[in-house]
Amino acid sequence: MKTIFLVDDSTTILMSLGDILTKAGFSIEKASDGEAALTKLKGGLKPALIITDLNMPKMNGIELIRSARALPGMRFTPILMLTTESQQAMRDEGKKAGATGWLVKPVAPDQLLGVIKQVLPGS
Amino acid sequence: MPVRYLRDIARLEGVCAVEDAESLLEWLHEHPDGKLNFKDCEHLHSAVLQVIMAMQPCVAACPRAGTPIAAVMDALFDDADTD
Amino acid sequence: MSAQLLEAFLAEARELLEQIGTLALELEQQGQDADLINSLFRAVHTLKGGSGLFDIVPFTQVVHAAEDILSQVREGQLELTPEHMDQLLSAMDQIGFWLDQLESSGTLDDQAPAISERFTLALRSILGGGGDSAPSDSAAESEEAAPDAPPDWLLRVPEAKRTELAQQGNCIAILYTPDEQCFFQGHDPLLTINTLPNLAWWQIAAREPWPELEAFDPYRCVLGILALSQAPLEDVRHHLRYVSDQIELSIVAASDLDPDATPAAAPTVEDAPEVSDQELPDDQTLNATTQLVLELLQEQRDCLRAQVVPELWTGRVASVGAVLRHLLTVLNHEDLIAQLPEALAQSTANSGQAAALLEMINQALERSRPPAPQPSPEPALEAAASAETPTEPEPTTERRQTQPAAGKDDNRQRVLKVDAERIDTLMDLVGELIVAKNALPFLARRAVEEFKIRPLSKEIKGHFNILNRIAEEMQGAVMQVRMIPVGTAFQRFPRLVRDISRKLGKQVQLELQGEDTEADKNVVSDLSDPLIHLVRNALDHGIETPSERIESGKPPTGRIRIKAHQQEDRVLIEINDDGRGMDPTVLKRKAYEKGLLTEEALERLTDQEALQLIFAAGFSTAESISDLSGRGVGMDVVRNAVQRASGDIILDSTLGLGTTVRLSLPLSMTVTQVMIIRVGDEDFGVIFDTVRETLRLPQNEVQRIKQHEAIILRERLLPLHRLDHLLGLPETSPQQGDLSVLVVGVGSTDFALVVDDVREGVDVILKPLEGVMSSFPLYAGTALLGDGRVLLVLNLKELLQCL
Repeated sequence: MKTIFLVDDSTTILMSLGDILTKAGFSIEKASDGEAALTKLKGGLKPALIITDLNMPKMNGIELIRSARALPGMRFTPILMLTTESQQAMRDEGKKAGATGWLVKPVAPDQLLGVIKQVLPGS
Repeated sequence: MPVRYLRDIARLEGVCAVEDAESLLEWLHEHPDGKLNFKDCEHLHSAVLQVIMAMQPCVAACPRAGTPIAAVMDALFDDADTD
Repeated sequence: MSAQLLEAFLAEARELLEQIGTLALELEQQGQDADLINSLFRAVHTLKGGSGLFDIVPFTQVVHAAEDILSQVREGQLELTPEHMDQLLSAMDQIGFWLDQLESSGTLDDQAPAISERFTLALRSILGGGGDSAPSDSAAESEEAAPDAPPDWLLRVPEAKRTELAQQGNCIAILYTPDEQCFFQGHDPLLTINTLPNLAWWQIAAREPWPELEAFDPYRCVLGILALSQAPLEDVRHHLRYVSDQIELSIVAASDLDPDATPAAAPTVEDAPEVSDQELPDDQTLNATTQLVLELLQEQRDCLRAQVVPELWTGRVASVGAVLRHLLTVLNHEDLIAQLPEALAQSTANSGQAAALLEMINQALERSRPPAPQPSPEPALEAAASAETPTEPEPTTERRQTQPAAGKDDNRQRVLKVDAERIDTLMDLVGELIVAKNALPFLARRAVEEFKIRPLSKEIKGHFNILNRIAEEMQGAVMQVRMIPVGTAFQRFPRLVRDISRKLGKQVQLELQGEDTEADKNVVSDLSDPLIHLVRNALDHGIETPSERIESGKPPTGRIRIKAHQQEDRVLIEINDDGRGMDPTVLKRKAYEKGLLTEEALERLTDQEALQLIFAAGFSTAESISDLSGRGVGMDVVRNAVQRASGDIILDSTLGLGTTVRLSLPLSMTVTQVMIIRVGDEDFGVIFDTVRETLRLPQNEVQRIKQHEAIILRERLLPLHRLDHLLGLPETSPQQGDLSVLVVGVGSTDFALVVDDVREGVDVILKPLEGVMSSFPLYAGTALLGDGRVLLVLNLKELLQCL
C-alpha cells in the first residue's frame, strides 16, 4: 500500500483529505506543521507522495519542501502543495523549492485522485 | 520488486521507479549482453527510460499490449509502425 | 461530508476564531507587526480552507474577504484603521454565530447569503486599489480555439495516423521539453504524457546524443516528447499545468493533419534502439508462481531465524520442513529434497540451530535467482544463516528493498485533546475508588471485632495504606489533567474592553497578569461570567472619561488590571481599576434609602464593611443605567456565582484612586469531607467544615424562647432547629434521653441542629444535582457511598435562609 504524507495545520483538512485517500486505498501519515513533518521524514518515513499546506506555523510549506528535497530518500518524491486560488506567487516559489505541483483548496475528491494518478504511477 | 536481475536478464516488473535507473545502468554496464524483459512492466520512470535509450540493450520480452508501457514502446519505436 | 468532519471543523474553527480575536487586538495595539499579521493571516486562511470543505458558501465568502484584507495588509498595501478592525471583528462575530448555527442544525439558515453579501461588501470596500485580481489564467479561457499554424514536427506523425485523426476534427499538438532537473521536482514526463486525456499519438526522443557511459547521468532529463491529443484545449492545458513552462501547445486543424496537404517524406525520430523479439524460454517459466515460491522460501528462512522458546522449536522445524518439501517439489530441486530429512533431523536435535536447513534454503534461492549485480539483501542474510545462534535480520537499507509503511513509531503527538466528558468519567471513577477504599478500615475493624483475626486486620490496614496512597496520587493526577490556565477566562476581555471603551468614549488599557495560573476547568468556567461582569463594572462605573481624568490630574487613559495567582490551594484573582473609586458614605446612604439597612446598623458599619454593601441584592450605584452593566444584574449576582463555586469576594476602594475586587476560589474540586447524619430512616451528608462540634444534650437543656428553641453552649445562646422538621420529614418518635446535636456554623452565624444520629465522616466527591433536582438549592449535591448508596448532602447556607 502506498503511503501519502499529509501536512497541514488544519485538522479539518487533514481529516477530509485523509478520508478521501484512505477510501482510495492509500495509507496515510499526517503532520500538522513543517517541523513535525520534517522530523517524521528524517525519522525514516518514506511516503510515495507528500501533500503539504504552505501556510503553517513553525516551518512553512516552502521551507519544508526545500528541506525535504535535501534528504537523500526524498530527491524524487512527488510533492504537491495545497494552495488557494490567489497564491500564484507562492506556487512559483514552491516549484523553485522542488514542489511537483499544487492543489487548490477546497480539494474535491475526484480532483485529488486525478492529480495523484498524474504523479503516482500505477495508482 | 520493480527490477529483478536474473543471470543475463533484467525483469522490469510493475512500476519501475526513478531509483531503479541507477541500478539498471550499473547492471547493463556490467552485463553488456544483458536483456530486458518488459512482460510484467506497467510503467517506467523517465529516468529508467533514459538508461534504456542510452544503453540500447536487447529486449527479451515486450510489454503486454494495452499497458501504458506498451505505449511508451510504441512512442519510442514509432517508425517501426510506419509502413 | 461526515458528521465527524463537521465536528472537527467546528472545534478547529472556534479555536481559530479565538486566535483571530486575540491577534487582531494585539495587532491594533502594537501596530504593524509582521509576525502578528502573518499569524493572523494564517489563522483566517486556515479557517477559510476548512470551511471550503462544506457547503457553506456564505461563510466561506466572508472569511475569504477577510483573508483578502489581511493579505493586502501583509503586502503593505493596506493599513488597518480601528474602523476596519471593527468590521473585521464583527465579521468574525458573524462567523462565530454561524458556527453555532452549523453545530445545532448542520447548515446555515436562509438569511445567510444576504448577511454574507452585506459583510463581504463591507469588507471588500476596505480593500485597496484593484482588490482581488482576476485569476491569472482567465486569458486562457477567453482564448478562441482557433487553429494555429501547424508545428513542423507534425510531419513526424505517421501518415496513417494523421489520416485517421483528421477525420475526427482538430487536435492539440504538444511539444514537451522537460526541464533537465525535473526529476528532482518529482516529475516523470513519461507519466505526465501517458496520463494525458485523449492521447492520440506520441513520440519520445533524446534532445541530444547520449554521452559516454562515464558522463551519462540518468537523472538529468534530456527527453523531448511530441504528442497529439483530441481532448479540449482547456483539459490539456489543465493536465499540463504543473509543467506549463515546458510546454508548447498548438491547435492543429483537421486540414493540416490531412496527408494530402503534407509532403510525403516524413523524417523520423533518430536514436531508436534495435528491437529484439527474442524470448528466452527459461525466463518464461520464471512466472508468478516461481516468484511466490521464492518469497515463501525467504519466509521459511526468517521463520527459522526468529527467536523461539525451546519447547516450540521441534514443532517449528517440522512445519518449516513440510513447507520446504512442497516448495522444493515445485522448484524441481530433487537433490535438495533428498537432503531434507537429514537436515531436519539435525535441526531438530539442536534447539535454536538450523544451519543445515538454512543452508538448503539458501541453495534453493541461489539456484532460482542467479547473480545479482549489486548489494542485495542476501549477503546479510547469509551471514546470519551461518551464525551460531539465530539473530534478527539486519535491517537493509538498500534501494531495492520495498518500503513498508515506515515511520509508524515516530514521535506521536505530544498533546492529546480529550473530550471533557471522558475526564469527568475518570474523575467519577477516582471518586468511587476513594469511596471504595474507605470500606477497608471498616473491614479491618470487623476482622478483629467480629472474626477475631488480628493479623488479617493488620494486613488489610497495610493494603489500605497502599491503596490510599495510589488513590490519592491518582486523584492528584486526574486533577492535574483537569487544570487549565485561568487565562482562558480572560480571552474575551481584550475585545470586551476595546468595544465597551470605544462605545463609552473612554480610553482604557487592559493589563493581564498571571494568565498561566492553573485551576480546575470547572472553576475557570465558573469564573468566566462573574469576571466579565466585574470588568464591565470597572469600565462603566470605575474608569472616568478622558476629560474627567485630566481634570482630576490623572492620565487620560485609564487602566484595568486583571491579575491571577495561586495561593496555597486557592486561586486569587484581582480586578483593579484606577478609576473614580467608591465612597463608603454614599454607599451607606443608598443602602439606607433602599431600606437595606436600619439606622443603627448604619452607625455600626465600618467603611470596609460599607463597601461590601454593593454585593447586597438590589443594590446599584450607577447614576444612570447604562446599556452595559445596568441590565438589572447587580453585584449580588456576581457574589452568588462566586459563592456557588465555593469562592469568596471582597471589594476594596479608595475614592478617587480606584477599586479592587478580589476573588478567591478553590484551585480544584477536591474530595469533600462529609459527615453522615441520620434523620428518621434517612442518611444525609453535612459538609465537615461547617460542623463546629457534635454533642449529646439532655432533653431538658433545651430552652424555649417564645415559639423558638435554643440551647446555651459555653454561655452562648444558639438557636436550635430540628432537622426532621426543617426537611419536612415525618416527625421521629419523641426522643427519650439525650439529643444528638450538631453545632454548625455558616458565615458568622452558628446554630444547633437536632438529628437522630451522628455517624462517621467520609471522603466523597461532591457532585452537583442535575436535572429536576438542580432546582432544590437545599442540597449542595450528591455523593456516592462505598456501598453504592447515594447520599444527599445538605447545603446548610440555604437551610439557614429557610429559617
